[in-house]
Amino acid sequence: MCAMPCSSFSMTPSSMKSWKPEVLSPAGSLDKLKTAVSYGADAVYLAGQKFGLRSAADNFTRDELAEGLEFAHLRGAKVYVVLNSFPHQSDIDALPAFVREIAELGVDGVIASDLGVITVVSQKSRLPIHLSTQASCLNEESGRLWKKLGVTRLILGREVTIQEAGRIKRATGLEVELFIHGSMCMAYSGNCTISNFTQGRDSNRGGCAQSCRFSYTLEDSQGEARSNQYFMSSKDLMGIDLLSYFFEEQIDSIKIEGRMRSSLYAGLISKIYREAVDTYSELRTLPQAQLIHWHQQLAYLPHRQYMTGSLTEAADQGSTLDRGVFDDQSHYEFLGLIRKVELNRYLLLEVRSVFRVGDEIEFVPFQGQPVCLTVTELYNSIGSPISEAKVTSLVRIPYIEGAQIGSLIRKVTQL
Amino acid sequence: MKLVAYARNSQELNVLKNAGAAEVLLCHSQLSRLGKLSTSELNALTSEARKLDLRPILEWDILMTHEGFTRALETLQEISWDSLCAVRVQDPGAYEWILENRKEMPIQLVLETGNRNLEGIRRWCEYGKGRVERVVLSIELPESRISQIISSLFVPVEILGLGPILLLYTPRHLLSNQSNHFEWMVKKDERAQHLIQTVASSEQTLHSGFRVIENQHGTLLFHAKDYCLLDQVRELREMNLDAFRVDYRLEESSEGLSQLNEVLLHPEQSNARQVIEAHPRKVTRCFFKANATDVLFKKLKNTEIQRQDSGFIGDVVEISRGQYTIIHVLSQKLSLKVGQALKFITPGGQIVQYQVEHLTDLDQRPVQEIGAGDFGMIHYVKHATPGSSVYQNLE
Repeated sequence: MCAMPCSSFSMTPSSMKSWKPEVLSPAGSLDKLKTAVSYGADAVYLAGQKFGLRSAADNFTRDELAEGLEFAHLRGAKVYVVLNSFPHQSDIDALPAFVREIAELGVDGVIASDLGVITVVSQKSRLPIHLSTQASCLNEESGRLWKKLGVTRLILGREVTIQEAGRIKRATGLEVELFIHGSMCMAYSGNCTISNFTQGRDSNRGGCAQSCRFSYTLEDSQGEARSNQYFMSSKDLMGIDLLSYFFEEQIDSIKIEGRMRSSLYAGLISKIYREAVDTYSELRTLPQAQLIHWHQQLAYLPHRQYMTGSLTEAADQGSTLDRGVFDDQSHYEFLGLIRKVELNRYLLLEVRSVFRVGDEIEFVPFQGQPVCLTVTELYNSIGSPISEAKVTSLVRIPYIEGAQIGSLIRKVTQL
Repeated sequence: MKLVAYARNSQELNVLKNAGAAEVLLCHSQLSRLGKLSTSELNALTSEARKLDLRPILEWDILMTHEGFTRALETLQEISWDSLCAVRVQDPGAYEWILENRKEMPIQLVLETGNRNLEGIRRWCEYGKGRVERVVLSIELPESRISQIISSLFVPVEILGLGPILLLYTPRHLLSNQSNHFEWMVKKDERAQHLIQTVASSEQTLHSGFRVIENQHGTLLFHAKDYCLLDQVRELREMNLDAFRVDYRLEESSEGLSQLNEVLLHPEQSNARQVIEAHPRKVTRCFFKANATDVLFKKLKNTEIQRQDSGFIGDVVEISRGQYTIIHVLSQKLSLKVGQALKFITPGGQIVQYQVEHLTDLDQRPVQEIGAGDFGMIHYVKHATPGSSVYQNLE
């Protein structure tokens, strides 16, 4: 089943000259970097194999980073490297060499939260330094301090409203970046050590065990215990409806969380916010039909319940979940990534989920509307007809106009 | 080594004085995470502390957005600054504000969150241009590191010696959010604007007894055990620790303080164990002897298949048992060639060696070489699986 009828609006080319915020997407791997950039991200953030906060992510080797930089720069996109752990002394000893290496490769900036890291980066390179949200920069005075310490951009705490972010930008003269979409820490970022003390995993060096997502038993005033309470589990952030405020306050960069998510997520979320930013930039409004379309797509991406976080007022009542699971609803299934295009002959697809002849699938072009298709023919990697595409295989599907290497194929699955 | 502790009222000031404390931390309801004092109470206690020859220190440790900062500044205008000996801050904005607006006031800088390396800690101190009279370090630092920092730093150091371990601090009111399900005991007294307390136990781990406190600043989650270094006092003195902080703010009474003086002054003669056993809850010294909170990271992903640059060619994307193996060439530097010696590393870590004798493209046309981004087909490689990494075998 397709997400929506394959008609309605078409996107206007992004040739607007007016100011726009940077769409900054997560890139947990080289594949995800290419997908995010291809689908419209102005910039991506990623980690090397050390100093980031996602130890379980694939993270980039030197060669992957070099390739990712070339890919992004050729398409006008920037690449920021996260160094946002809070390193112990033994960790930081290896940092100078890494900083010199990424500076030589030509990364566009680093994201750091620890003043030791910031000090090393400014001593060993001339890389722009973006203060990570982990540093919980929440007010103008804090912004002024970080500016004096060499920071060039403030990735503000998720507790800061868009209006406050604009105020901080004006007061400091620094670029400001705000999260617009994705999962949220319950604590002031960088101020949670539950994993450290209970699981022996340092959350501020990449080992967060997501203890805030666990269920807990709480005791009420009578000492009566109530189980299955997700009192620390935050709803997810979705700020697409508030894009006009980001424009009004000239927030330099809108950030999407999710380096651990799939290529499908990296691509679709980049595309949605690309379209929304370009549309608002041109029309100075977000037409209702398009908003509905984007909402539907965002609803089909894996998420917990959405909220607007603290973007307009402090997140509080109603900002936590009353259950632990992702929303029970239809969702996009990631069928595969186009790896090779034989013009007018076939597309070679690396299969991520099973699909069959007769299934309705969607081809998602880098720009423009998804194309709904019924699978009429399916061939294995060497061209023999098959009826089912299996995971960890390559299949050939008939050529689709507009398909390029890296294009995504999905379908909507009803739960 | 100074004993530093909090006082909530005159009685506690006297307990502190008798316990031999050097200074007292005073917590205003609008400025401190666990603060309950009104401005008049704080000003009165500041004066009393002075009379008792205790150094009164204002704790301003909340984190603040613009709105919170504005409220804090209103409160600060009513504080008797002349009687205070120092201000303790954690939010960098508060640090900046004191540096710019109270130019004579010494600063105690709380670096308990993060700040585990000397480069950063030193720079925080230098930024204060001589105004930082003490830094408060994280209890995640092990003994050896604290000792190195103390010997390398020009600013005296304090750590928590006995008290609750803060695990999470959020501005959200997490217990009020649950009010549909619970009749919470909202403690109202003259000092607290808003206070809800409960105990949480994880249903997915063995950890229980987390103390949860919601107040006007949000919600704080504490470890079931308290941090305690009473049995390490001699070591702390030897490393020249400047201040040993004791925090009884979550207890009904701070009478335990009176017994600490002897432990701090004469650790070799006193019986710290007796004091620890009398403490209202179990204690831990967590990472004081060693912090190994990064050793489990290796288990978070399969390091066997973590890509290495050296010799990397690509990944196996498909295998047809007994027939063929398809490799996606990903390297920009190395291609897949006839005659090449390959090493496959499977997702399970098994190493399979193979010599390429026959290579075709996906249309099964024989080729000598397959380059970046393309797919090459070789004979079936026994034991290799999809997801295996393919390297040039240089051995």
